[in-house]
Amino acid sequence: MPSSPDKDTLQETLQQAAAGDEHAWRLIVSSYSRRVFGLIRAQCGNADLAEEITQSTFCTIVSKIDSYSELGRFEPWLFRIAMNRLRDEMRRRQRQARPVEHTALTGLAGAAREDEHANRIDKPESDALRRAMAQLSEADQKIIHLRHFSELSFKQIAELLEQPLGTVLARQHRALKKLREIMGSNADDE
Amino acid sequence: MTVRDEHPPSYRFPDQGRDPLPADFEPELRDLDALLAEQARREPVPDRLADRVFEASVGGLPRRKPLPAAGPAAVGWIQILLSSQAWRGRLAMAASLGLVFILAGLFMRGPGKTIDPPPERSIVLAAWLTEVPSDGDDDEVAHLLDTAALSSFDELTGELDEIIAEFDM
Repeated sequence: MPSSPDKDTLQETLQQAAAGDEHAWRLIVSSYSRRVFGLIRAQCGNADLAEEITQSTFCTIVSKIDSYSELGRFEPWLFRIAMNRLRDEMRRRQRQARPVEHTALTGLAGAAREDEHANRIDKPESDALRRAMAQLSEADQKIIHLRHFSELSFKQIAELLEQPLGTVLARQHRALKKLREIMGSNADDE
Repeated sequence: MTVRDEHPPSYRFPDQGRDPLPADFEPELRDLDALLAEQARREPVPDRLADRVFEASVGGLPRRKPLPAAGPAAVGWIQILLSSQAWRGRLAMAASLGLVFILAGLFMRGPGKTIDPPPERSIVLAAWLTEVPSDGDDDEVAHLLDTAALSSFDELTGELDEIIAEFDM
């Protein structure tokens, strides 16, 4: 699994890509495409749409890379663009009277419906987790997805959401607590 | 579906992975967080995803900046001269010698060896100064005539008169 370059190397690689270095750009794509795809698929539950948005995100990044100046903030910038792309696409689909399925926004629950993912773990606790995730609010799902799929630090999530770090930590705590309560409630019902 | 890393980087992000949860998160929430992390880690990624994303986006990459075109021959020679340590030293030595010769020439010539004729404009000015008629206003400025500035001006006028007289001879 590709990892991300360290900060100094990342800046150097971005500068090389901005100068037209295809190898540097390939390195950036290899390092981040999996994380962008994972976040978007968790959010929308649709692998095809997630790949489309991932490609669109990197096309936007490459078109702006020579004017990118926010040193050290590449990752929040990248994931913000991806989230905005998803939001725009959802709005566009709603305008075209093609209602988005509720489950399309349920993250892990939506991802669970994709039969093509044959190598997915299939444990009862995973299913319970997906069902519980589907019952969380969109805001609570987002804060969990940003942590676990985009693999951003809390500080980077705070930058992306333009919220104080303390608020992000409080939201994370609240989302986990709700998720646990839902899982407990679902277990009682069964 | 399998995950394939086409071009894995040879380095790792120092703080790769998720931040640890703050200490005030309860143990059961930590367990749940670990379960979420494990589930996210196991989510498959489409095969050759990075290749397709690269191919879709690489066309938008800025073009490589072209190498500077070859300039005129003189510029090329200057570049060659300046790029050579030995030639830079020789040029500096030549410039120093030139400066020494110029200074020596000025020194040997010495001050006051020649008298350049005054420019024509100075002569006209001097003539005008001598021809200014005095009138009653002199009384109003009489108290200033003893000042150093006007005294020196008076001397200058005298010197100019002498120079004009020499030219008239």
